[in-house]
Amino acid sequence: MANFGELVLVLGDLHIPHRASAIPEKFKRMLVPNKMQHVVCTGNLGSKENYDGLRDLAPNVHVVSGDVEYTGPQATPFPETRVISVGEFRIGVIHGHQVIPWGDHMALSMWRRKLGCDILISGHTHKNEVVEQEGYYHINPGSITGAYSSTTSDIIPSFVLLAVQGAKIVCYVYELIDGEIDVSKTEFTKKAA
Amino acid sequence: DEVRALMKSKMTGEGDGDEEEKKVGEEGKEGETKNASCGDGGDRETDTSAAAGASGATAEDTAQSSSSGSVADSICFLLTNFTEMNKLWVRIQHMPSASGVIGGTASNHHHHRRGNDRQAQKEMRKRRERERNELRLLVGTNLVRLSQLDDRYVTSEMYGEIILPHILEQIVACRDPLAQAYLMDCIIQVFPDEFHLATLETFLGVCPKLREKVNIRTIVGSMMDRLSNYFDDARLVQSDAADANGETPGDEGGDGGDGSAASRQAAVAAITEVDAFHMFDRCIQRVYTAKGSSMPPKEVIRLQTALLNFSLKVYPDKMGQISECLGVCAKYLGGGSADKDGAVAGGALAPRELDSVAVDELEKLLSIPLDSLALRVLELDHYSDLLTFLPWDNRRQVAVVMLNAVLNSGTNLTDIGQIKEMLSIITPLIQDEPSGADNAAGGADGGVSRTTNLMGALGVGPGQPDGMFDGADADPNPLSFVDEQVLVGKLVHLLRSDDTDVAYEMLTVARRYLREGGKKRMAYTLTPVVFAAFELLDAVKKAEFMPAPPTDAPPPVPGASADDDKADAASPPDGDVASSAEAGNADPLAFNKAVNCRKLFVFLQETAAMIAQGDPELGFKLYLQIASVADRCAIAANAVGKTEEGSEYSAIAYEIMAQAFLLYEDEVSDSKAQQRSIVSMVGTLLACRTFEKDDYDALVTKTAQYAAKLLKKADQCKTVMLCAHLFYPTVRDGGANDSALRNPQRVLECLQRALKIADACCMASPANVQLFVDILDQYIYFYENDCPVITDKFISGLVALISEHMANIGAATTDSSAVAEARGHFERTIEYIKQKKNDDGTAELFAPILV
Repeated sequence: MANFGELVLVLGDLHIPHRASAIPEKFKRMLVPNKMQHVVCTGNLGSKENYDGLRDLAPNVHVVSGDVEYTGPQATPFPETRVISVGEFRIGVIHGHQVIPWGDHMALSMWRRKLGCDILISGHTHKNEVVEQEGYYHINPGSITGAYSSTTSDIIPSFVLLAVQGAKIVCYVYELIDGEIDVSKTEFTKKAA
Repeated sequence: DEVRALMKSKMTGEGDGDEEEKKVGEEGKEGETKNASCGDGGDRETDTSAAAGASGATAEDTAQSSSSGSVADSICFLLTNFTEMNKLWVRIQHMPSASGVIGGTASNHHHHRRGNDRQAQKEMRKRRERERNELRLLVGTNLVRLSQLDDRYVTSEMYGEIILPHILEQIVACRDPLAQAYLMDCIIQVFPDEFHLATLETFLGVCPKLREKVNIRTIVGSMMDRLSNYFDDARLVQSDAADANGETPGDEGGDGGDGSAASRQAAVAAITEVDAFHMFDRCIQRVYTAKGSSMPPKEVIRLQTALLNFSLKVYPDKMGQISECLGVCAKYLGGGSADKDGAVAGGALAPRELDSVAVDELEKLLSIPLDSLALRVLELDHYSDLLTFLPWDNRRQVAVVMLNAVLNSGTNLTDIGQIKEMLSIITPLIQDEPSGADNAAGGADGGVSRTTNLMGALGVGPGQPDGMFDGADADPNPLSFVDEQVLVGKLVHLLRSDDTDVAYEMLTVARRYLREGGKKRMAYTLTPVVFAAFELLDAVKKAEFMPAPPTDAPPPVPGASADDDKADAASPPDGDVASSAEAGNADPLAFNKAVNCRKLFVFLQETAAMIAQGDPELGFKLYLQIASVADRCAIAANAVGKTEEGSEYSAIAYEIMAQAFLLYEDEVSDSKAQQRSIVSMVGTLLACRTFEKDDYDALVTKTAQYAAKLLKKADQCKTVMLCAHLFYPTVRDGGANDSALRNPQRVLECLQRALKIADACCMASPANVQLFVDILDQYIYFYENDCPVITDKFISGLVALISEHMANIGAATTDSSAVAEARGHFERTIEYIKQKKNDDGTAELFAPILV
């Protein structure tokens, strides 16, 4: 674990039970407790059960509120945005439905400046992305359940794992394509001030 | 010998110097030596020897080498000893005692003392039973010894032909419940599994002959446990051996190896060959016959549970056997006889009353097969019949177990009948307990007319005022209620069919059942139906708007418009499917399904309207989704040149949007919910691409008006600045009419309006200075995107204004965290502008801006 530095699991838009019945089995097997230090969730958990599931994975769980967050007696109100520090990075989290137009990187960039972070994590589009913008990074883990979205077609279930070491990050994107896990890797360093 | 000595002393201690006892004692002394006189087993002795002789070539050698006696002698001796000891043991119970004698004579003379005598007798009997219980090991030891004899002589055959019949004969003959129960159990525990397997019929045959007080269930149950464990072990070792490719399984000790694996394999084969299930079944049936309908229901349930468990473990594939188990229960609980052949009494039978123990047992019985069978319990006859004997809450528990089992098994529901059955079984989760008897399970017809749905969409559903607080205070356990509804919701995603028409019917069926749950459930259970319908729509869309084949076939006539009214009808469009299938033969590429996209939109709209009744905000968001999906349908239609249909779907999108707006106006009243709703509106409108200009203008103008009317000033400011985007759509890959939809003047109006509100907010609290910074960001966004009316002067002016505000705040108040954040945000924005001034691509554009 020391080789990887701090591990941050990034996922979101589960939408269980509204849009999916469960996290895909192959992903579930990879998500084992006590391996990651942080779980970042872009929201839309769907039910408390899913929130509890995340809390079993790591000591630090950071959830922001999605556009259709679960309500009712079990609901914990999640904040609109969060900023956490991991290694030398400030990581901002927002669900993304507030970013108008949806998925627009200039609009995301506005939010990144507002939150004052090096990396902005957002979801909502159900389409995973790791995009460099003005020397900073926008990361979208997609939907871990491959939940339906009215604006994206042919959705691939995906999540992201960040291995943070000081000012360096290795970013792994896990996708489930035709029942097989596909991993892609991006490395980047913090933009010099 | 110690044991025997002990027994002897006990016997003499009772003071009854009987010659029988003496004989036992003597035999005990002679036990190790060859004893010619073998009690009552004179003829048996020869049988035994013969059997021993036949059992193997080595038998003779060993018998010869042992001068002190043969194994046959030992068997003979042990059996005799057992017989005699048992007789004595049983007799202790009936031995006259001093107090008994006195009591007896006294009662003859003094009738008023009879009560005391009975009491005394009862105490005596209890004491005797206690004493006998202490002695039982002595009798049992004989059986233990028998089981320990050299297995080269004591074979399964010999056990079945000589030993077991002899023991059983004694057990039946002694007619003593204590002895019978103990010895039957003894047999089960001490002899090897293989023996039991071979002699099961014989063993079970005596069960009905035992005294009524003897608990047959315990005996049969132990035997089942024994055999199913044996089977489990055998199968485990077998699969281990298979895994290890013939190597010795590690946890089985060193001497396992191939040979052991092979023998285990044989054991598995043997147990599956022997029809143990039906032997047990017949045995239990005989018990029912003997006891008639006097048996308490819980006993019948327990016996059938044991049998069902056994069948599941040993014969996991024999569904028929499990059905039999349930069938017997169902018949008995229904008031019939548990005896399968028992005549059914004429006339209607009254169902038997179940006490709370029986209810628990029945719930257990019905939960057991779920673990291993999950969805396959639907194949079982009588399963749902039996469920109806349970009270509503217990049925709900079973339904929860069932749903979890089905979800864990990961099997999809692919058959309409299966889905209906499943939904009926989980009725207690889907709806409240019906108050009247006529309100039976299933919720057969969804009788709300389409008009009502449309009315519901407009927020004027019937019975709304009184229904508003439905169940809100009635549910004692809201936490588990939500969990249960989440489970039901998950189930919807398991409905699968490759045939889109069938899939549609599945969703219709699901909706018909689920809508019975009322407003408090529909948000959980019908929303999955909406999203399942979206996925179905994607599939239908692909088929319906496939790129046209070269030979221009006549466009398929979507006969759906005529069917729209029937969309919620209970019956499937059978005729349509058949006729369109025929049409499909003519042109395989043409869309030949009865259910097209248009029909699905009707379904979606209706469903969203139902959800909106219980949760307007969720309903509103679903409307937005439907509109967005309709827009994508229009894109797909346009892409294959079906522009007429394209504009039709675009019109549907508009129509749904308009309904969403009405819902917003009438039902979304919470100010936070309103703010969230407007943000979703703006996002959705910008994501749609095919609206006609007039439609679009109407929708975005309305949205901007909603934003300006929000309760809180800060919310107004935030949403109005977002609305600016509506008048300058930028991210659009599919729409050709982007620029036509743009209205830069309105962008400026929105931003200026936002500034005005921000100014008012800052008067109230300096922390609201962050609103100015947000607006600055928006100005820069439009400036960078070449929005013509947003000039550098606006940006320079706003930068100056914010700088001044910041300076004033610095002088007037100590920094709150909000102000600090705004300051940081502002600095980063300035930094951003400076960066843009330096970057080659943007230097020219940003040069005039003063920071």
